[in-house]
Amino acid sequence: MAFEQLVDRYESRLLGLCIRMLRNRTDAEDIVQDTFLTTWRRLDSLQDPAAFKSWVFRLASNGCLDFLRRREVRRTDAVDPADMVGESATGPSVEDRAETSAAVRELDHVLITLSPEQRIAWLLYEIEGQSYAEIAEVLGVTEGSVRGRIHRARLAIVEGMKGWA
Amino acid sequence: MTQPPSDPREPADQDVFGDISEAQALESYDRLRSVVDDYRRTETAAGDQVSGLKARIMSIVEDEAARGPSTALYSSAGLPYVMTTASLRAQVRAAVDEEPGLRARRVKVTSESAPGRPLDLRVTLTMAFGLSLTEFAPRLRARIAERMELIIGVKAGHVDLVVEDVHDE
Repeated sequence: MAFEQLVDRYESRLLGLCIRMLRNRTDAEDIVQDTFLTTWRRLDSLQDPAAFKSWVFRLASNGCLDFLRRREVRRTDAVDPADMVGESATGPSVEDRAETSAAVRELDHVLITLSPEQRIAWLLYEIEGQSYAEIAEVLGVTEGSVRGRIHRARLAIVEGMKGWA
Repeated sequence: MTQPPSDPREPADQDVFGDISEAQALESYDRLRSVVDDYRRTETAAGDQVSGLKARIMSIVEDEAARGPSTALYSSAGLPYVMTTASLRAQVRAAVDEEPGLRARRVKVTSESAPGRPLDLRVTLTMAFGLSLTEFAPRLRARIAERMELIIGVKAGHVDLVVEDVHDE
């Protein structure tokens, strides 16, 4: 399969995931671009073509988590108020259209409160429809850890959306 | 005990539903299912501008394809840069060829580049009859590391030396 077809297949899914994680389109595009360029440069190391999906999701997920860790360090260490950019200062991850329901906006808001590790696991499961085993492969953790993260994310969502459940 | 909502992707997971309040909380989560479904269907911000990103990616890919494969590297300050893999290999081969009695054959980068992480290499070479691997190996590794740092700007990590053949000088 030509590389361009692989980009076509996964680009919008990865971009959607990264936007929901980072809540900033420019940063998300950078992560997706780096993800595809890394796969392009290391395609010869891919033993099993069927593992491509897991590979790109792993690169993108790690890219998002690393980005958020760096942003947190910058925010913690910042002495210049201009550098004190936290997640609360970034935009929504979903289109702010009239047809976007208040409940969806609320869910989007609650997702910010999850730890990045819980949020990526929840997004891969609920939005990408990946199984626990696939997510464990992507995140490099055990299935039990994935179950725990998703479980805690669900509890946090219920807690944060008391008025809607 | 109330069971969690069934999900075709997962077996029943008893261990995480240790008490009634948790199970009730997850029943509440099940009632939020339609909100989650709506969230999944909702466009991410500016989701229709994907084609510009693809064009950028393919432009870089085509550029690199014309030049040959590239290796992503990080400077000592952690800044990313790229150099053609052929150039990187040529520098390592040159370091091998500088050592009397050695001839480089192949160079492979065996580690992934990351900020602050040295680059591991596997260097295949031939040596002149009468040379001792244990004698030249430390010197050659130091020479390769020095050249990589001076010319390429990255530190060498593990340098595996594979002597593939012995030749007459």
